[in-house]
Amino acid sequence: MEKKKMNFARFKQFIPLYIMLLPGAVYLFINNYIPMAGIVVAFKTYNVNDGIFHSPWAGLKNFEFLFGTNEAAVIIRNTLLYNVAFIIVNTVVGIMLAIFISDVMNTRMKKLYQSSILLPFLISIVVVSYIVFALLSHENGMFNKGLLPMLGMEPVQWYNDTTWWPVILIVTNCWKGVGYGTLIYIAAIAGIDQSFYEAADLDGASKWQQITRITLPCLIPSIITLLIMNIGRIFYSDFGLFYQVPQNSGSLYPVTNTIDTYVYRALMSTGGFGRSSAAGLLQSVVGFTLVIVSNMVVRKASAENAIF
Amino acid sequence: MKAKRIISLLLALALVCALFAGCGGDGGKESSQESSSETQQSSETQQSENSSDEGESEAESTGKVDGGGYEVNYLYMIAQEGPNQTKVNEAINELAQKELNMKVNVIPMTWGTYNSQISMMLAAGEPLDIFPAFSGNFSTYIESQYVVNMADYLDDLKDAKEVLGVDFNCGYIGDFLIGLGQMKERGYPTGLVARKDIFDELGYKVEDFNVTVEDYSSFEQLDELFAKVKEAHPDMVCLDGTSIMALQTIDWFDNLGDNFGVLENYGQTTTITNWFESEQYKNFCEIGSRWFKNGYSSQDIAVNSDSGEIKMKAGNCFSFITAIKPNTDIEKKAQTGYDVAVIPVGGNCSKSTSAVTSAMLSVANSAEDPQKAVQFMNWTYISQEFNDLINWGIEGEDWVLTEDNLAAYPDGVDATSVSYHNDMGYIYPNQFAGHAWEGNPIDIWEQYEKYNSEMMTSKAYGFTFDSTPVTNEEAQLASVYEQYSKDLAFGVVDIESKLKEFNDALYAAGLQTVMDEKQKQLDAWLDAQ
Repeated sequence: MEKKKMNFARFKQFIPLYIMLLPGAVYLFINNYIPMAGIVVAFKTYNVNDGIFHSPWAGLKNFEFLFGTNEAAVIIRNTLLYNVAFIIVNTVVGIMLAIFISDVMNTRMKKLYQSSILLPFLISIVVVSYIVFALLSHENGMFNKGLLPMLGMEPVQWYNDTTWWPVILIVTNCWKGVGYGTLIYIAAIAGIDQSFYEAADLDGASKWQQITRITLPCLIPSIITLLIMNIGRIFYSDFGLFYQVPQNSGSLYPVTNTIDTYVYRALMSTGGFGRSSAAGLLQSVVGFTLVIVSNMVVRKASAENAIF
Repeated sequence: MKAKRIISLLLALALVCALFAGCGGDGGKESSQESSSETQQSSETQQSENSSDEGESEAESTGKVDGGGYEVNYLYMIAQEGPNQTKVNEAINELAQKELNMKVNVIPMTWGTYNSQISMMLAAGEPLDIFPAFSGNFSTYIESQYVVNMADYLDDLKDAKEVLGVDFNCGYIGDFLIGLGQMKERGYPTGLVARKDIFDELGYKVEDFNVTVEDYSSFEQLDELFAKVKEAHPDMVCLDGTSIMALQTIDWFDNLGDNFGVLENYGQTTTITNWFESEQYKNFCEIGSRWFKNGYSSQDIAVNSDSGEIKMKAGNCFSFITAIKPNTDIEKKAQTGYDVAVIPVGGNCSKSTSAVTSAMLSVANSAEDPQKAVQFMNWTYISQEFNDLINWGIEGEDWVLTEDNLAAYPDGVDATSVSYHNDMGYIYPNQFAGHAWEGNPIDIWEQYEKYNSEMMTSKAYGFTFDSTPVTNEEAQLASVYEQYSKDLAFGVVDIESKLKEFNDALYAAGLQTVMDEKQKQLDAWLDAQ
């Protein structure tokens, strides 16, 4: 009884906050929850006269084209492995850069570094693809015409040689995407109590010890949040990165074909809402499951750091 | 803590679900169209009565009907947005009011806008009567019931039928008439478009060349040309762009809608074969490979996505390969800024269904009164004023008539300052009804007609493959084709081993199933003829 009263009192206290939440919640409901009924399209042969709900059922037929080929294994492998690599590389590099930048004392330089790292994140992937092309072009590329001859090495047919693409894609993705994570880590580092470092200094801790014993443990909640969010998107791929950056070169498909590019190429000619919804549904189901599982793992390991 | 968890859970859910935003739509649209099966019979009889119809329709050739104030939503393609668009819209409206008592809601679209919007417009059932549809989408459009079966309105299409002649029947997929083709060239032979200044400088003449598929060694004439260009201009790229013989797939055979299972030898056979296993394909790939290895084609040619026109305009490209037609030189000069020499490559070409149906003008299912829409479309095939309006704009402001009866820029107006100018007759109903642009021969339309009538005709002319039963296979084949076609055609890989890999991948993706289905449909069609 006593407890209930207190809960209500607390609720009353927060009423203004709930009211502020309301528009956002209504928006989410209308925009993100109601349309979920449209998932049924993935199981239908859609036609405009009967509409979404009255079109004939197709069972799992729409999913067949995703698994029908022997390419399916390669595509799923590419999507998963690249995303795992992206997550690891971007997290490690992001934290490193965040620690470096946080230690810059000159505020103007700090701002400059921060912005220049974020800049690629804001560049359109099409522009990025041309920057990469300027480096790798067989005819006029900086690598084949400048760098490699200078080092006495043979030119490489970049766009026909699969060897280097896993590296090129990971580096490109890191260069483009790392700024976003770095920004969050810088904010998190700024939030760490300075007295920890002062105390460590007094005790004679080295810089390295300060990083491993203070900075990194304090960053763990942010790292886990970003990690779980990224894992949720592990079955998706950045279409531009895998389509534009390799210039859609056929010989590179074995290392650049991912679920999104496959769906695009397969459905460009035939279209079909059913099949594209089926691909989307599969991606989100896998993503959703992975988010739940990874959160469960985190909760087992250290309950306070789990997102939910 | 608990509240935080719930909110985080909601957020996570929302993130995952964000994908589905936009999937919703109007599900309650009433079925307004009769099922196509009911109309099968009528369309069949109409089809067989073709020849007798033509005589009758001459009686009324003005296309005039009383539209009763119906509003037609007319979507058409434009090259770019021009300031005079509003005036053109008004003029179209006035013309249609006067001649048909119909209002026109003109929806001009550039290619980019069209590509990003058309599928949503159709799926959402937005107001739309007439729009250009492209062959790759036909089976989806029919399956999804986006388009009206025009076979139900043959009586309203007499004039268009007379204009199109036998090409009218190419729009039939089974008994479903999906749309009408445009008046334009009916075949696409391959040619090499080369810079005339360099060509002349080396002392060549177009007549010197006789490159034909009868004898693949005749392609060495081009090797010789490239070698001379290379010698005189070491820094120049001899061949660039996005096409080469092995990619000009509409030319060498009847591709029956896609390239998977074709009628080889310009469609002069009725047996479906896999072109990618043919000697011809291998020869083309080997020539591509030779040009690549000798440094004639750009080292980036298989990667590059800029058209040959763009490359030539940039100034360092000698030639590119493309489909040619009677006035290619004039068109390419406008696009590249250089005088060009056009060398036919391969020699022949044939009229096939896909050449006519690559783009069709269709009636959308959301048309309020499909019959009125069809009547309007019929009129667009015979109205000179309409075809001039949408192509060249307002007479006196955007173009004037020259003494030779050609259209030209008025004094003081040029390509950069004109307020409306499309030059896209190939996607408009009937450019032959309107005026040709200055620079073309006076008898250009007769030349086109002669050119079209002299063309070989594929044995499957008039047959359109219905790919609905094999959509999964088609999707996979399209993906395999994307992977191998460019590398093989431009010869940047080892032909022998990749060619085998390519064909193995095609068969693994279900090529045989598609070929069998095609043969089955084709045999049935041939029997019915």
